Amino acid sequence: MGRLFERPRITVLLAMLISLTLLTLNFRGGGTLSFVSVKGDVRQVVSPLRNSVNAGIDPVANFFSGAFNYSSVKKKNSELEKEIQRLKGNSYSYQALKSQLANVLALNHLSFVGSLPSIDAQVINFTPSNVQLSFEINRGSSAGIKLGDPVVAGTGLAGRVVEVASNSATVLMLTDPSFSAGVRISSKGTAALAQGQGPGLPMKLLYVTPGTTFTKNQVLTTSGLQGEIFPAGIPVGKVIRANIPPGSLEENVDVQPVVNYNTLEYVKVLLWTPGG
Amino acid sequence: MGKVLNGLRLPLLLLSILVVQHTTVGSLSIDNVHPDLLLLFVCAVAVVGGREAGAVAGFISGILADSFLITPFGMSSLVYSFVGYLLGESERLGSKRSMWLDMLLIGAGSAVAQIFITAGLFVMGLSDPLRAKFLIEFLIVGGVNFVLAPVMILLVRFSMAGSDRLTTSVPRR
Repeated sequence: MGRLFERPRITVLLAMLISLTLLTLNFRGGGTLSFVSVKGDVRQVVSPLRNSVNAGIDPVANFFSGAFNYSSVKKKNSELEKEIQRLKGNSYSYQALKSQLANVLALNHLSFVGSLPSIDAQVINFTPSNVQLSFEINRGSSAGIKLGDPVVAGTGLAGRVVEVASNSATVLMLTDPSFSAGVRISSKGTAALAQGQGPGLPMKLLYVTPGTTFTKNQVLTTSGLQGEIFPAGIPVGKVIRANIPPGSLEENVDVQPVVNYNTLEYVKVLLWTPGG
Repeated sequence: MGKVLNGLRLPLLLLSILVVQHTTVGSLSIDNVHPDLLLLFVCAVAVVGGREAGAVAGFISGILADSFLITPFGMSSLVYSFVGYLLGESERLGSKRSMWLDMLLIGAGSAVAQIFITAGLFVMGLSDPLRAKFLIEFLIVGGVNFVLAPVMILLVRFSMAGSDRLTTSVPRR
C-alpha cells in the first residue's frame, strides 16, 4: 500500500489530474476561459527570442541552401526572369480588365470582393507541429482581427483565424484535418464539403451528390452556405482526381488547395461577420 | 548563488529548446513531419532523472507546447507527464543501462507519446488516426528523437549536474 502512494506516483497523478482539469475546463468553458491570455503571454516571451534566433539562422540556412542547390537556383532564376517578362506584358491587359471587372461587380452587387473590409498581414511562422497545420500572421486583435475571420492569399482561400493575440493571430490551414469549408461545384451549382486530410495530402470532397461530374483542374469556390462562415465565391481548390470506387455510391474526389503554402508570405484577412 | 545558477540550468535549457522548436530549425521537416524537440527533452529528463523528474518535466513542457497549439489546453501536458513517468521507470533497470538502451527508450517513448496524442485528439473528435500518414509520423518523430538522444542526454545531464535528483539516480556505465 505504501508503494502505491510513493512520491513519484503522487507527482504524476497530480500532473495528470491538473492536465485533465485544464482539458475539462477547456471543453466546458467553450473557449471563454482565459487560456488565450496564458497562451498569449508565453508567445510574447518567446516571440522576440525566436525572431533573434531566426535572424541568425536564416542567412546561414540560405547560404547552404544556395550552395547545395546552385544549379537549380540558377535555372529557377532564368525561369523567373522569363516569367517576369511575360507577367509584365499581361499586367497591362489586366489593368484594363480590372476596371471592367470593378464595373461588373458594382453592377451586379457581387458578394465580397468589392466591398468587404480587409487587413493585409505577413506570415511570420508556420507552426512546427505534427498535430496542427497552421501559420501565424503579424496582425492581431489590435488591428481588428477576430476569431473565425477568413484569410485569403492571391490565389484564393488560405485558411481561417482560430486564435487571436493582440499582435498576432493563428490561421488554420486548409490541409488541417479539422478544417472544412462548404464549396460550390461550379458546373452544376451543387454544394459539397471540402475537408483537409493532413500535411502533403489533398483535400477530400464529402457529401457529393451522386452523378455529379468533375473535370480535371475544375476550380471549386466557397459556397457561402454552412452558416456563411466564408463569403461566397472564394476559390478553394482544384479537382485533381475524381472516381467512384467499386461498390461505392459516393464519388472519391481529391482537391488540391489553390494556395501554395510553400511560397506564402502575405495574406489578406477578411473582416467578415458570418451571416452579415 | 552557485546553487541558484545550477537550479536555473534546466529551465534555461527548456526555454532554449522551446525557442529553437519555434524557429527555422523546428520548421525543418522530413516528409512534412517536424521534429518534436520538447518531447525529446521530456524523454531525456525522464531517462536521466527518473520518474518524478520525467513527470514534472513532461507537465511543464506540455503546458508550453499547448501554448502554441489550438488543440485542447492540457492535452500535451497530460500525455507528456504520463510518458515522462513511464520512461522514468527505466531507473529501476539499475546497472543494466547503456547509451543504446537510453536512445531506444527515448525513440520509443517519443513515438508512444505521438500515438497517445493522436488517440486523445481522436477521442475528442479532432483527428482521424486511420489515415496513412500517422504511421509515418510516429516513425519519423521516434527515429529523429532516437538519433538526437545522445546530444539531448548530454545537455540534460549537464543541466541536472549537482541536483539531488541526479546524485541519487542509478549508477551508469
